[in-house]
Amino acid sequence: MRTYAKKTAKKLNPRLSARYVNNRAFWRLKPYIDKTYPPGQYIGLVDGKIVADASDFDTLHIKLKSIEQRIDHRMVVQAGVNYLKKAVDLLAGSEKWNKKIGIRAIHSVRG
Amino acid sequence: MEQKNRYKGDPLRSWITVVFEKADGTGKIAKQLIADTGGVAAIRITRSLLHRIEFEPADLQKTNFGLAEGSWVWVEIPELGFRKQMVAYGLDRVVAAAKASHPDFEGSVGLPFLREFEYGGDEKEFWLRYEQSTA
Repeated sequence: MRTYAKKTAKKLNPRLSARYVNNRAFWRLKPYIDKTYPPGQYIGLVDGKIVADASDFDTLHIKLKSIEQRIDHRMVVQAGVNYLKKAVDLLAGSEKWNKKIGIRAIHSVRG
Repeated sequence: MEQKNRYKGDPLRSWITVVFEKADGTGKIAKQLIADTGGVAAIRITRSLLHRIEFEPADLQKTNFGLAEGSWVWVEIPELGFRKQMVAYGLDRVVAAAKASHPDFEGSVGLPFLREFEYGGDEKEFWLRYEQSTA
């Protein structure tokens, strides 16, 4: 699993690569985060490790900036929140896609 | 208090105006976003805009149109007294689809955003109402 993560991170640009490391770490740590911290607590990660937490966003933002100045090496998540790993976006459907799934447009209103 | 907007675009879309705070503290940016009542992300905008208003990175999301970068942003609707930090996602193809309907549109807001409000529409307009919590 770790080898796959490293290979995938290498393929991305450096900015996304740092984010990818934190994203992988977050999903690995999510059960621990949800068990350890109260729901809604803001958790700060830097380079794949939890380094700070706070009950409000601004406090954590200040703490994190003092720990790591490179923004792409930081990440903030909230304990107890169900993030979507994968999402399907219908709004961005191409004409071909829309035809395939049988819609011309979504949320349109006939005038 | 409410924000009311007449549907626009082709096809016609419901939309709202929101204000983002720039991360460098140099001001605010107002954008018109489609109100996508079936959207799974709070806010979808371009990556370039996201980088200007990003306070902290959030999660990455795999979508059917590529990797969406998440970032914590401050979003406001001043006339409703609404201000909150939320996770917005950068996904250029969603914005391209929104712009195809009307060039003023710079992205979309979905259910995680809209559930902060009471919202609705009739044959002409879409509206958003917000009751500030006193708790």
